[in-house]
Amino acid sequence: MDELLELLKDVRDDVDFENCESLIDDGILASFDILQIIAAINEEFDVEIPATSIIPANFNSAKAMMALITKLQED
Amino acid sequence: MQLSKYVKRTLKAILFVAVFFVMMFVLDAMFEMDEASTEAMLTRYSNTEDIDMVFVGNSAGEMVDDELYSKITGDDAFNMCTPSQGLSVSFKNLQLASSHHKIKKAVLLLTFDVADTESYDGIDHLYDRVVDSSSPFYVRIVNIIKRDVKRSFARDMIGSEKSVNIWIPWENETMHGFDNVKKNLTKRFSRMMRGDRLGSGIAFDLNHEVYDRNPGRWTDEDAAMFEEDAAAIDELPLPEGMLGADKMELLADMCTFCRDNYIDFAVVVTPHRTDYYDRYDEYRANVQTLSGYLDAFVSKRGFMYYNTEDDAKLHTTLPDAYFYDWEHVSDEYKPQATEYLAGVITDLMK
Amino acid sequence: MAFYSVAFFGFVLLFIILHDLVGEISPKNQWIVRLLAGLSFFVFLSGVRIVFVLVSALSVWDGARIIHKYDLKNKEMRKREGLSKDEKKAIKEKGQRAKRTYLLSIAGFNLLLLILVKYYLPVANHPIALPIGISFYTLMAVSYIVDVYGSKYEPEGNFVKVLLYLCWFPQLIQGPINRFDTVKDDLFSHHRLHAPDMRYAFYLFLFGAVKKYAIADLLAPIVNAALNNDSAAYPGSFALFGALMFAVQQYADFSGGIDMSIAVSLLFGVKMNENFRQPYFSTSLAQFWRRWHMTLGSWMRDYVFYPFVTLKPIADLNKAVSKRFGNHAGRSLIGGISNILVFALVGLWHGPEKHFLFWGLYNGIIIAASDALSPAFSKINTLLHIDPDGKGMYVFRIVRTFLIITFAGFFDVIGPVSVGIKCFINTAFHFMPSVGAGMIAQLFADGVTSVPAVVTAAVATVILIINSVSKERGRSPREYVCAQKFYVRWIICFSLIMILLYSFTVSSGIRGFMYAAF
Repeated sequence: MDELLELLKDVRDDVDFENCESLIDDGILASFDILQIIAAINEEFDVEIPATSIIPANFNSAKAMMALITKLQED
Repeated sequence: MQLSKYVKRTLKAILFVAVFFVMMFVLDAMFEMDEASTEAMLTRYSNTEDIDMVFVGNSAGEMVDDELYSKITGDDAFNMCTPSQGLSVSFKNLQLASSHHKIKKAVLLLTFDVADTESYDGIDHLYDRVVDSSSPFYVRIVNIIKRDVKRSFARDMIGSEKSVNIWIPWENETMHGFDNVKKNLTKRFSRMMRGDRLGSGIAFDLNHEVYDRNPGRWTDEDAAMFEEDAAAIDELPLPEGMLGADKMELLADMCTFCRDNYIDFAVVVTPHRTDYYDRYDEYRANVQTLSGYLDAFVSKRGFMYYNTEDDAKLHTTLPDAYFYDWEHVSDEYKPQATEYLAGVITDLMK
Repeated sequence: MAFYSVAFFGFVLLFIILHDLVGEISPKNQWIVRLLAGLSFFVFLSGVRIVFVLVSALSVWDGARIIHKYDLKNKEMRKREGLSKDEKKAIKEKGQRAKRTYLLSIAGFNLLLLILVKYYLPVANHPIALPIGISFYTLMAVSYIVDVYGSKYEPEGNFVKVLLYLCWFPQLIQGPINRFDTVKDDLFSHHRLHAPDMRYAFYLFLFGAVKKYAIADLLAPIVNAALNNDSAAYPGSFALFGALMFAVQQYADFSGGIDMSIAVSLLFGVKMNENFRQPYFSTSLAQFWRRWHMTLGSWMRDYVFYPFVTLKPIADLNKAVSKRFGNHAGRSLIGGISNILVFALVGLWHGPEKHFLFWGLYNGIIIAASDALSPAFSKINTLLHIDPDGKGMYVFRIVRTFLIITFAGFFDVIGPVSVGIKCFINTAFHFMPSVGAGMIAQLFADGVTSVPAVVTAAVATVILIINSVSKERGRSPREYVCAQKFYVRWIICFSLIMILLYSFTVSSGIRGFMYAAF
C-alpha cells in the first residue's frame, strides 16, 4: 500500500490520495493522470491493467486501486 | 378515501382539457384571420342561382357591380373579388365556382402588386367553415373532425409535425405574428355585438374532391414554356411585392384550368388614377415592360390580356376624382367603372 | 418520422397500452412488448434493412457468449493442480490472445458494417439509406462485447434481449448511446405506469419540443444564411454571428431531441443514459466533451482512448519519454496523440466529409495543446497574481470555452474546409461590424427570419438558460416544478405549450434532427 501511495505521489503531489474516496467522480484526476498512474502501476507491480478495468470504481481511491492490483496479481 | 382521490384526479383531468380548449378558442379568435369579407362574398355566392361568368381579384376588382354588369351585357356575372385576394385564392374561387356552375367566362381583375401567394390551407378552412355554418353545432363538430382526420392521417402528413397542428386551426394563420390580433378581435367583437351570423344560410354542399386539388394538368410543354417565361420575368428588375415567378406559375395554372374547362379567360389590369405608375418610382419603365410581358404570357396560352392604361380614353372616362386612392374607385362611382369595364371586356372577349 | 407527429404519438400510445396490459397479465414477459415496439419502429422506418441490426445483435450475442465460455475454460485450466506459476501465466496468455482475436473480429465486423454503409458506399457513389440508428447501435454493440471481454459483466444468454438492447426505439433516432449494464435492469423488468414518472416525462417531452421547435428550428434559417459555401465572402462579424446562433441551435436541437427520447423511454419505465450536463458551463474544452454528447464521449474514452494508451508500444513510449523528459512531457505527448486520434474519430463518426475530420482535429488539437501548456498557464497565473479558482477566472474560462466551441461551428456547418478557414481569418481581420449589422438587418428584410420568430426563440432561450443555471447550481427545476400546486404547474405547462405552438406558426419550415443523420 505504501508503495502505491509513493507512486501516486510521484504522479500528482497535490492530491491527498490517502483519504480521498472519489478521485474520479469528483474530477480530481484527469484521464491523463490515470494514464500515468496505470503506466506506473503496471511497471511497479508487474501487472497489466486492461483497458476494460479503467472504470471510476477501480480508481476512486488508493484502496480501490490496491484491490484491483491484488485481484490482477492473483488472477 | 381512495375513491375521492380517484374522483379528484378525474375532475382535474377534465378541468385540464377544458382549460386547454378554452385557451385554443381564445387563440383562435386572436390569430385566425377574420375573413368576414370573404365569408360575406361566399354567402352571397351561395344565394345566387345562375352564374356563368365570374370576376376574381383583389379589392381593386370590387369596382365591378356584378348586377349592373349582368344588366348591361346579358351575362350572369358574379364578382368574387375580396380585399387582398392573392392569386392562389383567386384560382381557388374560380375552381369553386366552376365546380357548382357551368362557367363560360372568367376575368381576373389584376393589379401589379397583387398580394402574396397565400397558403391553400387557410382558405380551405374558411370554405369548410362557411359550409359548416349552416349546420347544427354537433354536425359541424363531426364534419370538422372527419375532415381533420382525413388530412392528418394522409400518407405524406402523418409522420410530420403538421399532422398534429392540423387540429389547431389558428396554427395556419399566424404568419404575421401579433400584427392582426387587435384587428381580428375588434372585428369579431363588433360583429358579435351586432348579432350578425355571417355565412348563415349556405345551401350548397361543396364537393371537396372537385376543388381541393391542383388541376395537375401541366403538360411537359406547359412546363417548358413556363421555364422560359419565368426566366424572362426574373431578369426584369421590379419593385418588391411585384408579380414574380411564383405568381406567374399560378397564372399559368389558371390558364390551364380554363383551357381544360372551356372557360373563356381574360386578364384585365384595373382602371387607376393618372399617378398610378408614379408609385413605382425608378421601376416605372420596368412595370410597363412587365405589362407587355404579361400580354405575351396570357396570349401565348390562347387568352386575352388588357391593360386599361393602354386605353387613351381611360382617364377622361374615369377621371382621378372617381378614385379614393391610386387604384380604388369610390362607392358612388362604381356604376361608371362597371359600365366602362363592361365595354372593355365585351370588346376583348368578342 | 418526427417525435411531434400523429404517427409517433399513436405508435407510443398503442404500445403503452399494450405494455401495461401485458404487464398486468404477465409481468415477466412485459419486455417482449418493448422488443416488439423496437422491431416495428425499425421496420416502419427502415423496412428490410432491419437485417443489419439483426446481424449485429446476433454477432455480439454469440461472440460474447463464446468469449465468456473461453474465459471460464481458461480459468479451469489454470486451476489444475501442479502447475507452476510460469505455466499458469503461459496458459493465461494463450487464452488472452485467442480471446482478443475473437473480440477484434466481432467488433471489427460490426464496425466494418458501419463503415460500409456510412462511408464506403456513399464515397463509391452507391449510397443507400442508412438503417435507422446504425451509428448509435453499432457503438452500443461494440461496447457490449468489449465489456464482456473485460469481464465487466456476464454475457446475456437470451439473443432477443441483446436485440432489444440494440433496437430499443427511443434511442434509434439520435441516441443516446446506452450501455448494456446501465439499461438492462430497466429493459427487462416489469414496470407499472407510475404517475410521477409520467408527469416528469410529459414535462421533459414538452421542454424538449420547445427547445427543438422554438429555438433550433427558428434559428436554423439564420444559421444557414450566415454559414454556407459563400461564407468566405461575408464579413467576420456576420460569420461569427452565424456561429453564435449555431452554438445555440445545435444545443437546442440535439439536447431537445434527447429530452424527447428520454421522456418517451421513461413512459415505458426505461431510464436511458444522460447525454448532456449543461455543457456550455464548461471551463475547458476537455470538460465540455465530458458534458456534451456524454454517451459518445464516454464511449470514445472507454473503447478507444484507454485501449489505445494501454497498448504495449504506446505504454512503452510513455515510459521512455517520461523518464527522459519528465512526467509532464510523457503525458502531454501520449495524451495528446491519443486525444487527437479520438477526436479525429469523433469527427469522422459525424460523416465521411472532410470538414468533419477538420472539426474533430480542431477539438483534439486544442485539448492536447491546453494540457501540454498547462504548466505555462499556471506560471502566467502566478506571475499576474491571478487566482485560478476565483470567480472572475471561472467566468473567463466559461466564456473562453464557449468561444472555442463557437468557432468550431465554422468547420461543423460549412462544407468546404477552406471556407471555414476563411471565416476564421475574416473574424480576426475583416470583422466589419457595420457591414455585418447590415446583413443581419437584411435577413429580416428578405424574410429569412422575422421579429416574431426571433422574439419567440429568445423567450424560449431565456427559459432554457434559467433551467440550465438552476441545474448548474445544483437545484432541480424538475422537482421544483413537480412540487408546485397544480395550478402553478398548469400555468407553466400551458405557457410552454403556447410557446411551442406559436413557434410553428412563425417558423419558415420544420427540419429533421441534426443528429438523426449520423
